[in-house]
Amino acid sequence: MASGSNDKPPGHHLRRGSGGQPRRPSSQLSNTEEQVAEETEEVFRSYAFHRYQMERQENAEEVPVDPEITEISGQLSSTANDVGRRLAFIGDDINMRYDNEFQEMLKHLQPNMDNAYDYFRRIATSLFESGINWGRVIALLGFGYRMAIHVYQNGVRGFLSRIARFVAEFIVRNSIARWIAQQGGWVAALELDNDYFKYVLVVLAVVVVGQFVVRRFFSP
Amino acid sequence: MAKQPSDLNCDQEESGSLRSTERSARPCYLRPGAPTSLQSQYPGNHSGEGSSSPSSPQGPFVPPASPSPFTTRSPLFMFVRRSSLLSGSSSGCFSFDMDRSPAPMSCDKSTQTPSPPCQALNHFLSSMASRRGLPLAPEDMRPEIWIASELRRIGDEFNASYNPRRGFLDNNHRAVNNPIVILHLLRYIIRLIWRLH
Repeated sequence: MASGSNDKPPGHHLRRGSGGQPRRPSSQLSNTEEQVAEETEEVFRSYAFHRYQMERQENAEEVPVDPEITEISGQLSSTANDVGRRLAFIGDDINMRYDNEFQEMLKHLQPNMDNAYDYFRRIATSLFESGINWGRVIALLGFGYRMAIHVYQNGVRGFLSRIARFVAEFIVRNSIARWIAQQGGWVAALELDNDYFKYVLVVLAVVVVGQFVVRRFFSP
Repeated sequence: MAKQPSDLNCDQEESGSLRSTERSARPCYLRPGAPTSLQSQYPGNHSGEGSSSPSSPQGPFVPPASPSPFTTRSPLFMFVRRSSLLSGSSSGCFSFDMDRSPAPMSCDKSTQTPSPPCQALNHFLSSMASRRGLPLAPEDMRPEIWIASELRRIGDEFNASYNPRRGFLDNNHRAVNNPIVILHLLRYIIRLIWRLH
């Protein structure tokens, strides 16, 4: 999926804003795809903001104060903010399950300002090699956020906005924006639901109704 | 095949029941469940003696030096081993009469199921690795490839539980696709209601 041109740092051919030349000469972005591409950076920033808030609420001592993240709140549109919040809520579930694994990965990788984009691109390329789904997209956002926090903890400032550009750049270059557009855009993430939770609710409801029916009609 | 020390011991024990001509070319084998492991006693089985085995249909029939583990461990052969057609030795070893049994096939280790202790050990090692946090990364795997595969696993696990919200009819359609799950749920519900009643 990655090509030689992908080795360039982000910002070379991703032009934000409307108008101008098409971003990809070979296959032009459709309107929705373009919209997805434009929203991605904002969605990631919103995701990072809400994840950061959740972590600060849960464990304020261990999460470093990062002014770059705290300043995000006033810069978001309402849709991106909602999507980011929803993804952060879902991502918190991933984080609870896999936080140790993320930490272990980053310890193994040792990213810094110079090699982070290259690592991120290779990991993301390999991640989506065999297909795209929402779980992988959220795993990528979660790993990007963890990487940003890790680099910040190592004393590098301003990395979050860079990694937000990495994410936006990557999803445009690798047809993930097209896939998200086909799902209905980033707003489709608002519709993600936990099926197991639904099953449990349905079973509980059936048990309660069944018990009522038995007591009402079959008890002597 | 060089004779193993245990073969020699068995031969001495059942010398009264075996013919001397067979004894020189045919080792005896422990019954399954014997204290010593068959695999450790006959390491030659793993290498596949098919190349030198005389089990080919064309050649003259010569008893092989060692039958495959299948013939010594399979329940199918239990009756043959216990039948009165074979020698009546009760020394803990049994002989494999080549006149009545098919020639053993060569042993292909890649197609064999690991033994239960081996499976238990593998399970233990994998559970210890997961308890450590991550599966061990192969030495020759680059960290980014390893991380990507872990992220893919995490994402796919997550994707299995989260799905786009669907309407009621769509849910029914999915339920039809998972009838076993629905049947299990119904069974539990009916049992619960029955107990309450």
